[in-house]
Amino acid sequence: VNPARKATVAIALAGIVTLAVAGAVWRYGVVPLPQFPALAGRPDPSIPGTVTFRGDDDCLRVVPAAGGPVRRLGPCDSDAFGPGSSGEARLPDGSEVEIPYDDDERRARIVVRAPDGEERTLVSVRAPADYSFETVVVSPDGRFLLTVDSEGRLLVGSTEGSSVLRLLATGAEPYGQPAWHGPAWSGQASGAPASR
Amino acid sequence: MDTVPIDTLVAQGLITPEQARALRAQADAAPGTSGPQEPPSAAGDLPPDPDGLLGDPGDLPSPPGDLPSRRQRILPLVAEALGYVGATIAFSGAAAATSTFWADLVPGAQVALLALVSGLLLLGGAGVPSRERAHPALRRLGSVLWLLSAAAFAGAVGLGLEDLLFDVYFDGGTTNFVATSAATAAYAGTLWWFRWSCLQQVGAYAAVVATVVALLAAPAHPPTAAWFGLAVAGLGAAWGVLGWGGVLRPERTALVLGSVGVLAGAEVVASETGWGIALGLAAAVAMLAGGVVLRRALLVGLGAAGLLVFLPQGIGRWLGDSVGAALVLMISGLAVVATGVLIARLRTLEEQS
Repeated sequence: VNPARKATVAIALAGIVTLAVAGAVWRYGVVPLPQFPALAGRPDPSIPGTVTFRGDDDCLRVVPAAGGPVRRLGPCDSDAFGPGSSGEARLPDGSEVEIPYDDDERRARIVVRAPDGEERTLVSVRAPADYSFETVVVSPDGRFLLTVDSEGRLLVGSTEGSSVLRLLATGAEPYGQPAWHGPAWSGQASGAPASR
Repeated sequence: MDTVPIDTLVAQGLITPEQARALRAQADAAPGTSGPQEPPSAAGDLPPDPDGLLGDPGDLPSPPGDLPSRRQRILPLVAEALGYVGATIAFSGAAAATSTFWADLVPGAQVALLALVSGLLLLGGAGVPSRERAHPALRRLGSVLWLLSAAAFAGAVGLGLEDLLFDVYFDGGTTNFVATSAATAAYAGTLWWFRWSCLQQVGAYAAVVATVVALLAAPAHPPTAAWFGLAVAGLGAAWGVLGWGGVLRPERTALVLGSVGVLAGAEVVASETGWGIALGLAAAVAMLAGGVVLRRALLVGLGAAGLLVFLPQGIGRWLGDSVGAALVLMISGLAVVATGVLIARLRTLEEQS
């Protein structure tokens, strides 16, 4: 075999292999962060109440659940917040809202598990391996859910049907416990939170 | 007693050209013989062997009483041994000494010290003859010194960038990893360019693999481990192919490094998904076939090792605890035994050709 020809074939083959692998890794391996439409610019009046949450600066923050400006309330002290809860978020019919712990690494999900064990996927987004939903809270009437993802984004969605999450605020402590408040729900501030 | 011309023996493949030269040299040196001596070959009939891994013509039997020749053969080995022993003693002493004050050194001094070590090793390696005709022991010594120089270079660059980038980037660790591995790949690749040796290729390959891993780890949300494995496997495949084509030298080193890279990458993929097992099995079979076609016993051995690693994983994953699985395992074992016999035959063919 002509050495020059052999070398040319080898370079061509190596180039093809390199391009194919690099293309596959770039196309399928590097998954961008999921993006959610923001409520700040287009509030949704159908979502009632206000939400309080712990900011990543250890300040208490308040935001209208329908979307709007985030207000910071002092004092900013980490001791003012209790430890995280590993409780469950329940719907009025007794179903549990869960964040699957050992799930597909390429998707982040929130599911509803009925008392009879049947599972229904509420939220499913394609995401990087190190992305996850950390905490989920259900509104007192069971119609909406709040979740904080690993990027510190506070997201709100519906518990009915397949939910599309919308961005309520950024800069949330991922393991903090957001709470839902409203005049109609006095005395029953949000459902119990669930953590991973 | 009838005599057969040496050329006839060579033509019939009964002895190698080197053995023929040795026989002629012995006959010429024997008492009562005369005539012009065949000039020593400049390894023209031999396959390229930059590291002397295939043996050295100087190791052929020398005539009795040929003291200068023996001394010439022994001295480089002594020099190599002294080089290794000296380097080890110096390294141990330096490590013991620096451990007492290393933490007290300012970062710049640490970097300077490592850079000095790298430079000294570079000069030491450059001082050792690397020509084709130099003794393999000396060439190995030079290669080892340059490999260590590359390692010290990586340390110097890594430490230097760590201090520099820490204040510049929040994710200084990732940036440092990319920059250090890329710089080391360039440095080791340059050394390899000047000395096409096995160890220089190993150093360059390791640095290139580190660069690929660093680039994949650089994004804020890097891909899963399987993609790292696929990238390493792809790099290994490309490396092996370039070695086969004679682009990377020594060819045998490139084939081994590439094959090991493919198998290791496939194993990482297999830790996440069954596709890795399929990839590993396909690679192992390809290595077996390639080894047979190219008459490379080493490739056949690596292919057999790949089968040994991936076949049980595949059986466990796809067949479970069935009797059929056990039978397949038994058959695969017999296949590996057959491969061993094949290796032995290929080795014989290699030696004869």
